[in-house]
Amino acid sequence: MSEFIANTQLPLAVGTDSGPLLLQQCGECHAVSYPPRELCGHCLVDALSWQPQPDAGQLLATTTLHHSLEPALQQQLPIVIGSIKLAAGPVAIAYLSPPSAAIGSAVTVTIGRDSAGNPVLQARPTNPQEQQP
Amino acid sequence: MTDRPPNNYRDVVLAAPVSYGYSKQSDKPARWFIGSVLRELCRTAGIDKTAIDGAAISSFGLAPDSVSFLTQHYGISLRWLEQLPFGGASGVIALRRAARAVQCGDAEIVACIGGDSAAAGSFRELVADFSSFSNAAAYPYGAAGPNAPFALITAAYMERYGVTREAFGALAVAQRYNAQHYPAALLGDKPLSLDDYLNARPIAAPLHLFDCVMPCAGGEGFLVMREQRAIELGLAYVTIAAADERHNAFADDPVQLRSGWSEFGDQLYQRAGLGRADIDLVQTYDDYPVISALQLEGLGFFGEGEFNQFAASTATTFDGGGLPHNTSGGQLSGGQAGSAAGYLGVVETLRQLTGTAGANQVANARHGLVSGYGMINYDRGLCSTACILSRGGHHE
Ligand SMILES: [Zn+2]
Repeated sequence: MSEFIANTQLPLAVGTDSGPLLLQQCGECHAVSYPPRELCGHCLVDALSWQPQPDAGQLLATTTLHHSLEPALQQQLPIVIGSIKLAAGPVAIAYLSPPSAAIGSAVTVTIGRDSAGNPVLQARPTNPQEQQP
Repeated sequence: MTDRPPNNYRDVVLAAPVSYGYSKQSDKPARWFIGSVLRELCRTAGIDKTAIDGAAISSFGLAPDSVSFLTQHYGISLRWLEQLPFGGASGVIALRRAARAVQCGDAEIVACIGGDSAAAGSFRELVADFSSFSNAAAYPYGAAGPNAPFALITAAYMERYGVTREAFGALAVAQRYNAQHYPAALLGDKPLSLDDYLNARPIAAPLHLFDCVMPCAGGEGFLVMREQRAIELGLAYVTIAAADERHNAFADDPVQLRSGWSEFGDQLYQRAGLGRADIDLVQTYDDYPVISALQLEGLGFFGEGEFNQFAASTATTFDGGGLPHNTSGGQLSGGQAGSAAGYLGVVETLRQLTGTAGANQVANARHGLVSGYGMINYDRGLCSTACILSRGGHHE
């Protein structure tokens, strides 16, 4: 079994399994940028740093993956992921757990670890009663 | 963005459609496919390679080479050269760049070529390191490659408009029928029914097996030159009625349910002096059926959210009398040969409008629309293109 190393660049303290949502924010115009980059996606100034963000988001879409190109992830199939419009502004793709959340519903996003230990975004329904049966 | 329309493409034509070397796997490098297309372009046009003084080339598999190195491989001297890394938008962009070069006298005959190979494992290598955004924020989430973002777009499109799998299936089934009439289509020997489509195994739900293209090897190409030159060479040709492109259009849309086509579509028809009813055939970039639907919708073949009705009421087979679409089977039934897939629509339209398509010939085709889409960086494809091509004067 090969290891799966994913360079998500997400900040998560060594030895911890989960942490609050931190994203790159501009010290100049305060816009939040994601995916990670070198210059502010809004004003192009070199002033990005990882800052705490509201953990709220709205689920835009979900997919259930039955196929993975990485052997290390194949034993976990099916994998459910979703795209989320974050309250902080950007759209993020995240693991969805529990997997049964309706499109349009509110989700809470944190940083966790995948089975290979990579820091990843994880989303869970904010209001469990909005879950589909 | 300016409202000033671009100059027209008067006096510039496309000729010599070439599709070459399609196979499910190949140990040959992309260079072999590109060079083979170049040779076939010369053979088709009846010219020596020394007559070609410009080239626009697209490939995902050239590394460590760039297109400048190819000139030495192929023993050609050029005065104009472009490398176009726009994936499924490359063909129309090549046409646009080459047309300006010819129009402005920077080159006389430009070879536009997309080519890629398909060695075992090469698809994983390509998508696992496709872009910095994808590497950091898309691929880590299940490592599903492009299936993941396109499944998300498909799910959002179905949810927003109530689009059914049957509607996507109608496109896929019609394309398979078209492929059965185009010998080079890699899946043309396998019939596909709507039941087959609906009952296929899930890959990245709501995407199932027949929503996903089969990566393959192959090359596509055409020549761009002045109209007078094509007449002197005795070549059937097409003219460029209008063409346009956008990059990162509607960047603030949370999900990509439209792209540049919605922005430039009306002006495209206006500049061409044609209406949608004048379009005899359409080729969309069909890496997934939802993307074909977005192109057809953005270019006005049905109203926003009306894909179910379009699919139920419009035959998209080459001989169905409706709107012939992806008349050689597209990628879904022909295979996705990397960057060549971005040239496929232009080349097939060139065959159709010059009356050289073969068994899948659309009767009396005068105007064809080619749409392109490319480069999924993270959650959406960034490049969107389209052109309207018209049957040229040198034609029976
Ligand atoms: Zn800024």
